Amino acid sequence: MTASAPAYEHDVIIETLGVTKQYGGITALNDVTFRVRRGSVNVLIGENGAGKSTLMRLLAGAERATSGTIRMEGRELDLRSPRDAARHGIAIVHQELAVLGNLSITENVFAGRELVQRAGLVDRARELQQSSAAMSELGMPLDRWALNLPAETLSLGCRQVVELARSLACGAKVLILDEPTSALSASEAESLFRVVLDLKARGVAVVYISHRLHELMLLGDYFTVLRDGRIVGESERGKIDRTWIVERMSGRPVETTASHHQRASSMPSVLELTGLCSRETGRPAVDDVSLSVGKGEIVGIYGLLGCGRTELMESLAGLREPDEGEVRVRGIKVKLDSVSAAIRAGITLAPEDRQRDGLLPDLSIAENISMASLAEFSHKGILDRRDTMARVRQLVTQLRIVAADLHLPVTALSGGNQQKVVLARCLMRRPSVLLLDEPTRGVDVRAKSEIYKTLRELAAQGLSVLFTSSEIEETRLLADRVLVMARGRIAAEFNADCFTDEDLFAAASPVARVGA
Amino acid sequence: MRSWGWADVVLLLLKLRALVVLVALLVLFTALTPTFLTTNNLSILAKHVSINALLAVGMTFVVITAGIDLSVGSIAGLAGMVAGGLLTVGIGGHVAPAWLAVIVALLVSASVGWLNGIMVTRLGVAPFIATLGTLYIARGAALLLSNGRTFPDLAGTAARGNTGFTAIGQSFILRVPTPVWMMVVIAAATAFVAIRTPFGRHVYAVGGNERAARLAGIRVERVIVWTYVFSALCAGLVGMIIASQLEAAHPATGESFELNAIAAVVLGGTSLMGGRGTVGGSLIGACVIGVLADGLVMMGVSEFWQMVIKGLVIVGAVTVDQMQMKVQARMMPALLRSRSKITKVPM
Repeated sequence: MTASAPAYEHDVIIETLGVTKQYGGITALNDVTFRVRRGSVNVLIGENGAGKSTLMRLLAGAERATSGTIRMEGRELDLRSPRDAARHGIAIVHQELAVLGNLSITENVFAGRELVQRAGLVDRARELQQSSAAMSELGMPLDRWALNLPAETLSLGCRQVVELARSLACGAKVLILDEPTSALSASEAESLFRVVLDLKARGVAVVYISHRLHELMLLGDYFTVLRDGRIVGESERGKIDRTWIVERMSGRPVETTASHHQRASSMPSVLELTGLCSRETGRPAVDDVSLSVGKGEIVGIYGLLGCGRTELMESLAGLREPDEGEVRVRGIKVKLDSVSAAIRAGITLAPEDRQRDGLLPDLSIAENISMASLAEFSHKGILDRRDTMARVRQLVTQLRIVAADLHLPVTALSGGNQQKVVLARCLMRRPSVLLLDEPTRGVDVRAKSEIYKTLRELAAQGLSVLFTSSEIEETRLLADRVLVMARGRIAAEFNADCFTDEDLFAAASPVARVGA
Repeated sequence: MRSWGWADVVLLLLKLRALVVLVALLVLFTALTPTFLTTNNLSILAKHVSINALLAVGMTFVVITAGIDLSVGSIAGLAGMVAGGLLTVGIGGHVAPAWLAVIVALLVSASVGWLNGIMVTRLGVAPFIATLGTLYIARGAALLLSNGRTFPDLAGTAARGNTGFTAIGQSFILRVPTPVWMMVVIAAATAFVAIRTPFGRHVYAVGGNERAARLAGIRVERVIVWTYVFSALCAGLVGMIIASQLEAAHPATGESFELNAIAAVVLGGTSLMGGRGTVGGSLIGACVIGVLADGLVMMGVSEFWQMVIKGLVIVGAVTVDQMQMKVQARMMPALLRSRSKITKVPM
């Protein structure tokens, strides 16, 4: 694998030469030679656990290789810390955003390398000016007041932009983007693409990691596929197609289509909302939403970030009491004033941000799954462990969770399997309605298709599923019926296979509704 | 300039609530006891406040990094004993001049702080436990220095060349006690460091999200170690102020001072979860505790009731703190919409 680099149009700026990384007995990277070329988008592809993130951590100085070397512009580098890497012009935007919530946008942009004036004081005027410029360049012009807001008040999409601004402001030569669009809406992703192309034109070497194939095909100049810690394919733009990527990634053909459920018109409605309103400080976040989900039906809500889909899900899960409107489950009116009320009514939610709202990182896989159902499996206050484990095992099989040992901490699992753990916890309560907010965020292609398949099976057994998504492809693959949300309202409704991407996108864009 | 909305006023009042409480207490005690607002009483009050305020200001950075320093009281005791021992007994019959005693005592204090920092960062000991350990270690060391006895006569004599130590706690500058000046200067300098230097910003970053701070290239360990060293230095200074005022170093000096300091920090709005807090808040917190104690004494409230009231004030303050966070979180979207010119990206 350490043969000399093939001659391509762009020259190599940084490369790893025969790098191996071991954690204890596990080999995360095995003799990897990965080349990053100047002024181009270098796509790194692989399933979760293939070693992409480890490789990027090596390049970003967050970890050191067990053996092998990293060379930049012909010179060998010894990156001991993220600081070292930053000094050499290597910047990384992490998948789990590394934004400091309590610091302002400006302070985040310059965190770790503050601009100082004489006497070692922070030069706030210059920082404000430069961060303002960087944010504008990223399509997010902010005034002074906004730049001084704590970053925790921003949405995930905006935090991402802040991280990008950080790398821009330090004049990075190599910019690593680890799943940059997993938290972004379609329009935010598009502005990100523009930025990436702009950076590339300026000679920055971009390393791009994503599970969204259409992005990779759109942006990528050079493609490298990792599988089980080894490089299994390298190619360049124009020489490959989706099938090439998918086959190398998984080492086998991947099933991406799911047969749609033929919806019987007489399907009894399980969940029914009429005129649901939920206000966020006076402004309606959910505005007069009526919808119904039938028994065994999968209904998708497509919408951009901030369209009210999360608020709708939270209203149904009992996290925010609706201000107006009525919710019926199996024809019986329910008052959703708390999570336990929603659960009693048979509604359970798998939240959008599984790291923050879903998983208990210190607990084991089994404990995470059974967490919400302990009362059900207890007799006189004593937990029946055998019963619990039996049910957990059943769910693990049903959801195809791949785990060596269910007593390992949940953090030992890949993103896809972690998401399945969250699903398993919801299902353990045997809900009649399952709510999913972005069911496959940060999940690789194969785990995605497995999750879709499982959800279809569950629906066939009579479970009603209501999910939200900002991915058109996901909505298309999973939903029997699609509702489009914009500005808190249901803007359109489509039956499966009766819409084009443009239909969805147009209905979801708030711009199209201005003045309407 | 922007116009001020109702939301800003509510937020500002909530933010400044410690100050509001302080002013309310001052008004209350002035109205209830005629002798409260006298130069004499205020001078005594300021001296008392300065002790706790120095400890609280020193500990603020530690608490912002989501740590805690239980050892400050013991460090104060140890510093007083080291200085007192060098001044009066000395080493091998040679007594040290006041300036040398002060420097050595500060160095000893700093090294205890450094030990705290090393335990927290390199050895991974939880701050509560690490500083609980040094609380005992430093107190034990203070007792060992004199076998539990007091070092008297710190005023010194010209003949032995050990005078001047009493100036620390007893002198006046512009008719204001020197310890009060120390409190003001150190608090101002610390607040300045917090706001205007990279170090200050790193302290907030580490407390907000240690992992993210590390990924941003901040030297997390170094920052944390320095916060403990600074806290210990302030504690050492306090120990010497007390020894200087009493003209004697007693090994039990500073017992349970750490609790008052933590109370002041928390009253000032610094979150024990880290990432949030101000030096000015800690200063005001120390003033609230001091004024409350002083005023209640002057009103003749029993010592036992004083403790009950102090406890209620602390718990009440933190309750309001939680309410502020909730109100702020709820008003933020409205503020964002009305105030920001964000054009493209929804927030």
